[in-house]
Amino acid sequence: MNLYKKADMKTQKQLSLFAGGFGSGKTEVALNYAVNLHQKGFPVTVVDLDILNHYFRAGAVKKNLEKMGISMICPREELAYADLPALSPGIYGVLQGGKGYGVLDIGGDDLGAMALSRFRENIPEDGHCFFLVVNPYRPMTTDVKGIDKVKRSIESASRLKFHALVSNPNLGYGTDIETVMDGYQIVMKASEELGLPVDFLSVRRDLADHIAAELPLLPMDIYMKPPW
Amino acid sequence: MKGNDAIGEGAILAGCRHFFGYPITPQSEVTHYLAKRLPEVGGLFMQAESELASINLVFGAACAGARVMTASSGPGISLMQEELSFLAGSELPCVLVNIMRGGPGLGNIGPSQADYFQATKGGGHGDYHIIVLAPNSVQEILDIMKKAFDLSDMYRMPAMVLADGIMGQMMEPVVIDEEKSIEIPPRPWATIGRDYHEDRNEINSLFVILEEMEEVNLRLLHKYEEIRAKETLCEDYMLDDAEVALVAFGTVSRICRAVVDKAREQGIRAGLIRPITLWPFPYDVISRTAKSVQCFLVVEMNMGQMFEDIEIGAKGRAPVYHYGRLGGMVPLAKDILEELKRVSERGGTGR
Repeated sequence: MNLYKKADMKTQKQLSLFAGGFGSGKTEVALNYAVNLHQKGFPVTVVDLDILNHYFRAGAVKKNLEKMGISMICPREELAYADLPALSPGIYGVLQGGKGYGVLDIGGDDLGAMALSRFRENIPEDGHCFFLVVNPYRPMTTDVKGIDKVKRSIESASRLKFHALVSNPNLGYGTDIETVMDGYQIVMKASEELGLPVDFLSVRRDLADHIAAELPLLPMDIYMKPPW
Repeated sequence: MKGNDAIGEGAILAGCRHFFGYPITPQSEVTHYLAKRLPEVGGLFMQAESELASINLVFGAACAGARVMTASSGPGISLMQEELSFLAGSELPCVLVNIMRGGPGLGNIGPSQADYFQATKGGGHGDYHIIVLAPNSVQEILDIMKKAFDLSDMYRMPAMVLADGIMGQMMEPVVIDEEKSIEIPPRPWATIGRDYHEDRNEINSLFVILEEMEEVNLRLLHKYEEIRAKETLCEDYMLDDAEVALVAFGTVSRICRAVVDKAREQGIRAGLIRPITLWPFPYDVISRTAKSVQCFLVVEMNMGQMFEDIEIGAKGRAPVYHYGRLGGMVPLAKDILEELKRVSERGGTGR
């Protein structure tokens, strides 16, 4: 198994930004990426920049992350369900590098990425990596054409260019090895046609041992679960 | 697929090509999804200026014979109530989706089941019913959209899919059966001009002669009786030897299913009744079950609305209890299990 271990002090960018289509798995990927960095000894702060989805968002697991030693910036508790695009001023601290390595979870589609645009001037050109998370099983990104459309709309809304794709093929709890491998091929094809490298393949931890892929794997623990 | 996406895709699979709506959390993805998808299949998506406009546009499209729908959440559905009564009175088919949120008033965007009364007992004026369907998984949402359109067409009346915010927001894998052929029944009554009909068609809910109005009311009544007899849907789980019957719909029915398993592990014979049609309501199942169980425990995300229908169905044969979480809160399996233990040890009725 080729585990994801790219992160080292030399190449790791100060900011990792995760955007993608609605429901592509940005939040799970961002959280797992942050935990991965943390376990390698990087000081990490997660920023919940999702202004659209109030039901399943990173802020809901703030306490769990803090227990692990990862700090988190999200709307104040009393605003969590306010249905308002209220962002914490603490975000600037992360962007300026005052809080170690920042992992930013951006809202879905171009609508979610608009929140990122506001910080465009505060994001260091050489100090960030912008990831497009792709789940080819989601209705709008089942082929290269759809992935390209989402890519372009997010780039236009955020005023930032993507550096790499994250391959996150899954059908939720219905995911099996075949699902991952079939979806993986679609993302690889997109990578080739769009000229963007795939940085890693994220896959549920219990499946990770059985995946034979050239890409580095990020084994994922699922943090956002329904209440049953 | 997200529940709200499944509403949109389910509608398209059902042959719906017209949507008029206005975004509201936690329903907004329905509009978002259909705005993208409907033009791809040659359909029409229109974001109206308000929920009032949306439902009136639905009325117009329904008159013209279209398979048409709208979607909103509680506050928007409240605005639509007047026209819903007009749609029922004019015997027009259409589908409404309500992704319920915390209330009353503006409330909040948390998941809720507090619009049960409004949906099943009629939020608008006059003597009428609408068909109300309550799915509990994303797959069922996808499939039930077609059911809603078919029933609505067959009986020429509005049908509503009633789900809470969690159903709309959660994601699950789905299987899409694209091979199912869609048969949209002919609409000889549609007001599409004399080029298409020999006689003049008129769609109306104004009957100034009292006897005529009563005739219409009786026709509706007979239709409702037929639906009650033929279309009631209900599912049960481990009910055969149950001593305590949990009753829940939508999201809560899934939590209750987990509670039944946990209770059985601890030696409590629990079962679950899940009404799928909330109108017509499966009173028969409740009456039958009332003879064999010690009590009912109704679990809802409201202060006791479906509870009243269980009391009607139980006819005093078994005590009925209620456990609810309110204001956008979701009941947890462990809390329901505690409540189940408590009520199975005492008699009488209460909440």
